[in-house]
Amino acid sequence: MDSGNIDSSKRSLINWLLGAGVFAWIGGIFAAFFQYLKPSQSNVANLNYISLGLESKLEDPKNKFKLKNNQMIFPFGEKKLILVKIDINKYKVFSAQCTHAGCIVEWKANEKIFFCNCHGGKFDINGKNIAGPPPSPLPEYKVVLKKGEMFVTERQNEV
Amino acid sequence: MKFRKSKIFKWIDERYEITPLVDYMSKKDVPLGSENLWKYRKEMPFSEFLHRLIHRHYLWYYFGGITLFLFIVLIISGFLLLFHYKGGVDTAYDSVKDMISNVEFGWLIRSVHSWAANLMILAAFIHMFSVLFTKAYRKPRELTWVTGVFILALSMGAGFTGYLLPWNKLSYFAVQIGTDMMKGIPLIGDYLLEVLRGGNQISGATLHRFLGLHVAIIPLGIVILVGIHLLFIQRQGISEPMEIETGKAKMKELTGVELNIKTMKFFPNFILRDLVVWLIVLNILVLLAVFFPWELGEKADPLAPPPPNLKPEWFFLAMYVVIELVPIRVALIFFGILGITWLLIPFWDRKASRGEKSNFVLIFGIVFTVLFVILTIIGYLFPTNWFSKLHF
Repeated sequence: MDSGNIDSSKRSLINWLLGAGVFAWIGGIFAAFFQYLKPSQSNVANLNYISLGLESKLEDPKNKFKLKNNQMIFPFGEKKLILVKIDINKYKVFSAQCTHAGCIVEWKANEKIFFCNCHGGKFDINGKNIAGPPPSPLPEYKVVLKKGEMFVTERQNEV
Repeated sequence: MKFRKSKIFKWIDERYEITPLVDYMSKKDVPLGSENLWKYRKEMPFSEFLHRLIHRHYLWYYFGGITLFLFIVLIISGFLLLFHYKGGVDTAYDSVKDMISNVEFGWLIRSVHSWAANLMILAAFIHMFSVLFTKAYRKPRELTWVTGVFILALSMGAGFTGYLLPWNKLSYFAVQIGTDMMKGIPLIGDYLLEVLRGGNQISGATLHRFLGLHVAIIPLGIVILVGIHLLFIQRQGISEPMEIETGKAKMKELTGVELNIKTMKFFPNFILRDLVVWLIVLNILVLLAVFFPWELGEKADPLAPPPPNLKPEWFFLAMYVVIELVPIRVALIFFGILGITWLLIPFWDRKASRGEKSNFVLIFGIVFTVLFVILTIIGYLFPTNWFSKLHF
């Protein structure tokens, strides 16, 4: 092997290393850039349950959480839930966001359905998608009553 | 020229040597058509063909300028809006309301801004379709087309981000639906959704990000692209319709006659005509803003159901109808392929670059334009729940 060949193989190795280095450097910058664009995680509240106060006061218009036409939409961390009074002391809570495009649904008491105004999606009283574009049912939440106070939770045993 | 002898010109020229620039600009011509051609039209066996050589398209040349003018209006009115607009969930709506009710001429500035945005996108669409049908994108102007398509895309992005800023009910849920579509993009959909919203929900973080995109990032992108677009046009001149270009060659081949195409000086003749058109557009804009002021609507309530019959801005209606009728992933893949095909028209329409007619591109353009118009009308006329009945 003459020295010219050694030089050219050395040069190609150096070129390759330099190329890989530049590629890694650009990749690193882009990775940091794309990570930076993600929102801060500190603001995400991770709630296990929420108290809606005394059940007896749910229909009091002065109350923070109050029923209007037997329904109420309230925040649960980042999520939005809908509580519906379907009978005396009987409540159901679902995600208030349509599983199609995330619009807020409303309870139509006379038809006993949750209706989404955005695209006409419908869910039955159990949250099951029954008409329109929604691809899946509304996720259901549990209502727990403890000494007259109403709690809403994702899982029964978290209160 | 009087101006060249003026003291101001001399003062500037002494320091910055602008004479070559002015010389260069005054050499630019706008092709208008050929009068010479008319003289020969009866002698030619292909008189019908020649008849078409007369340039009837130059009216379309103004739409590029109109788009630019409306963009300038948007920048100025946007700056003025920033004097009173207070970004934030609790302040955005109230600040806009205060601006249009209590600030002198605040209603006018806001209305001009909203109308100018819509008219700019309309003018950009007309400009794009006129370039398509006159095949002005052909070699050597491929990159002028590419930059133009990106300018239109960014303008639509500016329309979308600006829509949320007043934080009213309509805009809130329109953005909710619009951003939710991101989920359908394979692999990066969830990431894009989170980045665009600044979280999982439309919130103050979304408003803040949209404000940044709307007032800084997107306009900067448009300014850079418009700069490149204009530089290309300045370097290459205004495109001559293909019929004239090929007709000139054919005429010379058959008769040996060199056609003199009638032209107009770009500077100052065409620029002055452009200014007159801009003045007319400004008047139309102000009339629209005064007699049809842009409504503010009700303040957004993230915990309330959306108003019925919620639809996006008119320039997204065609896309919206497609999304309503087919599954979201299929729609997004369709838009992706269509967008890339559209962007690359100058590169795959090889016939146009050779000066030949290509019916395929013509049909593609006509089908696209007609479908776009029909879907926009359908989206405008039919209520949203009509689509849900058709959904499969």
